[in-house]
Amino acid sequence: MIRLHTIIWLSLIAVASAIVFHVSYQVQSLEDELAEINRSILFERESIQVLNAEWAYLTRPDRLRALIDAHTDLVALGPEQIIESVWDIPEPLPNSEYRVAAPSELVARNMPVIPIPRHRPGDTTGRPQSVGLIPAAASIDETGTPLQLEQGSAE
Amino acid sequence: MSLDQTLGLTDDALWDDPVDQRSQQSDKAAKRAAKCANALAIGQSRLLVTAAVFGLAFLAVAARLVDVSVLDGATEIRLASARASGLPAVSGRADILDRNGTLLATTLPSASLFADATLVPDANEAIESLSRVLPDLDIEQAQRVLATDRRFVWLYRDLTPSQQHEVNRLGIPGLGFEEEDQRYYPAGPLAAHIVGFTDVDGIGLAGIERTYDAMLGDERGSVGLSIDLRLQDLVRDELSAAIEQFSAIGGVGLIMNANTSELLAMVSMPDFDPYAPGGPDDESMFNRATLGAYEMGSTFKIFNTAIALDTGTVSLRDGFNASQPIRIGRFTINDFHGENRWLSVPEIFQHSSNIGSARMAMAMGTDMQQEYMGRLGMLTTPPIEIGEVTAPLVPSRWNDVETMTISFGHGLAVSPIQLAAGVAAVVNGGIYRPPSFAPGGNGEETRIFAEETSDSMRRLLNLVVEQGTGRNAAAEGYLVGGKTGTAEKPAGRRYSEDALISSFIAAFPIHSPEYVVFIMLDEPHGTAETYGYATGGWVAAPTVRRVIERMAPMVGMAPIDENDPAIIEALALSDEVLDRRAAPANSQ
Repeated sequence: MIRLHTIIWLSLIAVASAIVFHVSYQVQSLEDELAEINRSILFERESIQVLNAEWAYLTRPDRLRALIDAHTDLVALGPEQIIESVWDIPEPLPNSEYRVAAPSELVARNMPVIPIPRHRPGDTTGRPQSVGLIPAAASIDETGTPLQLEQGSAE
Repeated sequence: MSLDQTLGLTDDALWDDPVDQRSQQSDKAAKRAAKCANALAIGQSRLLVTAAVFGLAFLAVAARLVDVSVLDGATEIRLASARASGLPAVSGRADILDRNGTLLATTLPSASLFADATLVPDANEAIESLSRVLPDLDIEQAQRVLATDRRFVWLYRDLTPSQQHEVNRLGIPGLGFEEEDQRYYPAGPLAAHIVGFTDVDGIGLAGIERTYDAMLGDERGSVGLSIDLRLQDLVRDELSAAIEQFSAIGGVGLIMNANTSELLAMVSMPDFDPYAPGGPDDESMFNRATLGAYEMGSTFKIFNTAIALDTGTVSLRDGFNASQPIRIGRFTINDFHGENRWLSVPEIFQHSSNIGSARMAMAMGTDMQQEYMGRLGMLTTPPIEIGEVTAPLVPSRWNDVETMTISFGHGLAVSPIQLAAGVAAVVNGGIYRPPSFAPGGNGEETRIFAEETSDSMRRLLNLVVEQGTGRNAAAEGYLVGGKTGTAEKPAGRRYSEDALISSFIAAFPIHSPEYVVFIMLDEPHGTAETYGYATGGWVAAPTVRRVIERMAPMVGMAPIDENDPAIIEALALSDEVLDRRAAPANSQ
C-alpha cells in the first residue's frame, strides 16, 4: 500500500519535473528565437529605411525628367490628349481594323470596354493609328468571338 | 502513532515511583487514564490546527496556481507582447514626407571608418585594398595618418551600408567603425526652403525641421506636409528657366489650394543645398516666399476692386475719370497703360489703371480699406508653420496718400504667401484661410466677401486674361483668370525705375477655382522677345501658363470646354452681373 503510493508519487514528481525542465528549455529556446527575430526585424527595418531613401533619391523628379528626356520621346501631356470619359471618344471610322458596331451602344448596355490608345505625339515607331474600342474580356462569349465586333467592312 | 509513544514515554516516568505500589495502583491507573485522555485530546486538537493551517496554506498555493495559470492568463500575453514590441527604434529622427508620402527628409545610420595606426600591420596594403572599396578615399591623407603612432585616426566619413560591409570583408586589423545617424534629404535643394536642415547633432535649425523639432526628435512622429514634390519640381523648373531667360536675381513660385490655402508648392530661388547650408547672410538662404515683404503692385487691385464691390461703393456699371494724373502732396499717380478717359470698374481692372483704382479707394475710404486688409491677413504675420516668416511692412500713417497708393499695391509690403492666401479668399467664394503647410489647411476660416462679390471678381479676373494685361497666361483648356503686378523696388527714399518686382497671380479654372498659382521675378530684364518689357504680363504670365499646363494633368484635372454655354454664362459680364450692387450694410 505504502510502497504503491510512494511509487506513484515519485513517478508523478519525476514526470512533473521532466515537464518543468522541458518547458523551461523550450522557453529559453523560444526566447533565443525571439531575440534573433527581433534582431532581424531591426535589420530589415533599417534596410527598408535605406531602400526607401534610395528609392526617393532615384525617383526624384529632376532625375526622372532628365532620364525621360534622354531615353524617350515622351513630351508633356497636352490638354487635347486628355479624354475625360468614354463618351468623348469619337465614333470609329467605318473601315478601321478593330471596329465595334457602336461604342456608345456598348457603353449604354454597360458592357466593359477598353479604349484603344491613340497615336502618341513623338511616336516614331510608325504604328498604325487605331481608333475605337476593344470590348473587354467580359463581353467576349465562350467561343472566343467578341460580341458586337465586326470586321471593318467598307460598304 | 508517534504522538502516543511520546505520551507513553512521559507516562513511563511515573512507573519509577517506588512508593506503595499496590494501594496507589488503581488511583494511579485512573490518573493515568485521565491524563492520557487529556493529552490525546490536546494532541488531537493540535493536530487539527496544524492540519488546518497546512491545508489552508496548500489551498492558497493551489488557488494562486489556478489564478496564475488559468484566470490571469492575459498577463503573460501582455508581458510577452511587451517584450516583443520593445524593439529598439531604428534610427533617431523621424521622417518628413510630402502629401503623397514621398520622403523629403529621413535619417539613416551611417558609419565612419577609423583606424588604430599602431595596429594596422601593413599600411600600404591596407590603403590599397581600401581604395578599391572606397574609390574616393584620400590616399595621401590616409598614408600620412597611418604612418603616425596615433591610436585613433579618421580614414573615411559616412560610409554607406554596402561600403561598410565591403570594408568589413577586407578583414584588415586595426580598423573600426563609429556608428552615427545622418540626416538625409533625397530631394536635395528642391524643398530646402520648406524642409530646412539640422545641425550635426540632429537638431532642427530651419524650416519644418526647426518647427517640429520636438515631434521629429523625441516623439518620433513623422511629419506629412501639404507639398507635392512633383509640383514643387515643376514650379522650380519653370521658375529657374524664367529667371535665366530674364536675368532676374531671384524669384518665387507658389501653388496654393484655393479652397484650403494649403501650399502644394513653394519655391524661392536661389535655393540652397541642405547638406551645406550657407550662413545667415547668404542670399540663397533667404526665403523670398515667406521672409520677403514686397510691394506687390497691381495684384493689389484685386483686393481694392473686391472691397469696393463688397462694400457697395461701386457696381460694375460705375466708373471713374482716369483722364488726368492725380497730384497729391509730392506724389503724382499715373497710369502705365494710359487710356486717359473715363473708365468703368471692369476697364480699370482690365487695363490696370492706377488713377481709377486710387479714385475707387478714396470712394470707399481709408477705414474700410484698413479693415478689409486686416481681415485678409495683410497686416499681421501669417501663421505659417516655418519660422522664416516676415511681418508685413504696414505704413505708420495711413491717410489719403497711403489709401491711394495701397489701392494699387504700393506703401504696404506683404509676403507672397499672404498675397496668395488673400487672392484665394477673393476667388473661392469669399472665405479667407491662412496659408499653411498642413495637409487640408490649418482649419481657420473667416468669411470676408459675399459670394456675389467673389463671383463678380472671378469674371473680372477672367476678363484680364481674355482681353487685358494677362493674355500671356491663357492656358488653353484650363480657364485661367489672373492679374499682373509690376512694382518698382524702393531704392533709398525713391523708387528705382529699372529694378522691378514683376509678378502674376492666377486662379484656375476661374469659374470654380481650385488652385491659385503665383509667379514673381525679382529684378527681371526685358529681352528682345518681350520687346524690352520686364512687366508681370510679359515675364511672369507665360511662366504661369506653362505651370498650369503642366500641373493640370498631374492633379487630374480634365480640360474644360470654353464654349460650353454653362461656362460662358459663369464668366460673362451679363446685365445681371453689371447691375449687382452689394447693400452698404457691411459699412460700420
